[in-house]
Amino acid sequence: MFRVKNVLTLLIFSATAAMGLPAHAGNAADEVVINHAYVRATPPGAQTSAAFMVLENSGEVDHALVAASSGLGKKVEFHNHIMEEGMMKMRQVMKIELPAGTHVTLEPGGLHVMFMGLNQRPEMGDTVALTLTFADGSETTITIPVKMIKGMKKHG
Amino acid sequence: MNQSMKYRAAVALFLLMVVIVAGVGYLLGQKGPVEGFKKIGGEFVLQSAAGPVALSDFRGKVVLISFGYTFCPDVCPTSLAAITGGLNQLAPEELAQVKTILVSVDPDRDTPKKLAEYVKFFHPSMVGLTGSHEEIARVAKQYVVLYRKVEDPEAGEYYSVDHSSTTFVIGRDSVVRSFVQHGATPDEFVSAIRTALLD
Ligand SMILES: [Cu+2]
Repeated sequence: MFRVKNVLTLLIFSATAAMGLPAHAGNAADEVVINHAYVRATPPGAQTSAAFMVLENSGEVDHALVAASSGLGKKVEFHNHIMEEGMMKMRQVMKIELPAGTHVTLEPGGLHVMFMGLNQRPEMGDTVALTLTFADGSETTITIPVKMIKGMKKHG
Repeated sequence: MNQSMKYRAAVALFLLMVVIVAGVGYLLGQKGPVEGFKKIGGEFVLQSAAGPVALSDFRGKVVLISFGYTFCPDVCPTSLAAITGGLNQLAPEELAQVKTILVSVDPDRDTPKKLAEYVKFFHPSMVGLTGSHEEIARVAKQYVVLYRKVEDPEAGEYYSVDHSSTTFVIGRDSVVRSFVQHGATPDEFVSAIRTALLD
């Protein structure tokens, strides 16, 4: 009887461990925590808007964002800004790297999720659903508020 | 060194000198008496939704001039929002003496009507101006503003325009008083405006 109990314990233990495994193996959608996300309220007639957020990779494996989609815009891309030749240049980024244990900030004047060809005008008080796709194929859909931007804070 | 390399080296050297001279001039200008930058800026006439607008229409007021375009998702709205934040801090009698102009660097997409709706969202005292490609190019040259449409065949109608993101603060005499760089806070606009109002 003693033996049977031990075997049972072992079985239960293994089963629990196995069930727990996938979460530990590092699905980006589970491991990347998104905070402070918002979409910029736009003036009437504007054709574009942008979303900003803080992405934190709480896991032990590197992840990356590779695509975004939303009903807000016909085209949704990741962009960055570079100051070059005396001009502010906005360029598409194919991938946003999210190294393990770090956080990446999408903010005004820098990296952003860009919505082009707006299907509706994002106004204060609205919410926007945004689906983010990671390099490992996992996806996460977040619902984020629309906010007015009261001018940018200076970075160092 | 072949001929084209010599030419390029000469051009590079010339450009470097221009940058140095401009830089020194700028620094001297910063410390000198408040006369403004007479070689930059000047009069122009462009189109608003309500008809032609000239810089001289606002003589006696302090004018902020920013260059941008309505398709701009981030840099232009951020600058305009900072200006709005500054304008909102002014006393009504100060505000009555300040005008803000957005000059479009994207005349193909920015109609006067579209610009008017766009700027009104930020502040009722703002005016949006556009013109032909030639007119815009001339004003940009006067203000030493650079802009260039990004050539990306995949972008199609969603192309973006690279552009200088400096805001010009113009004195009551229509002479450029100071420059406010992108990323400035509302407070920085307030102090630039108040300094210009005192002249
Ligand atoms: Cu963008």
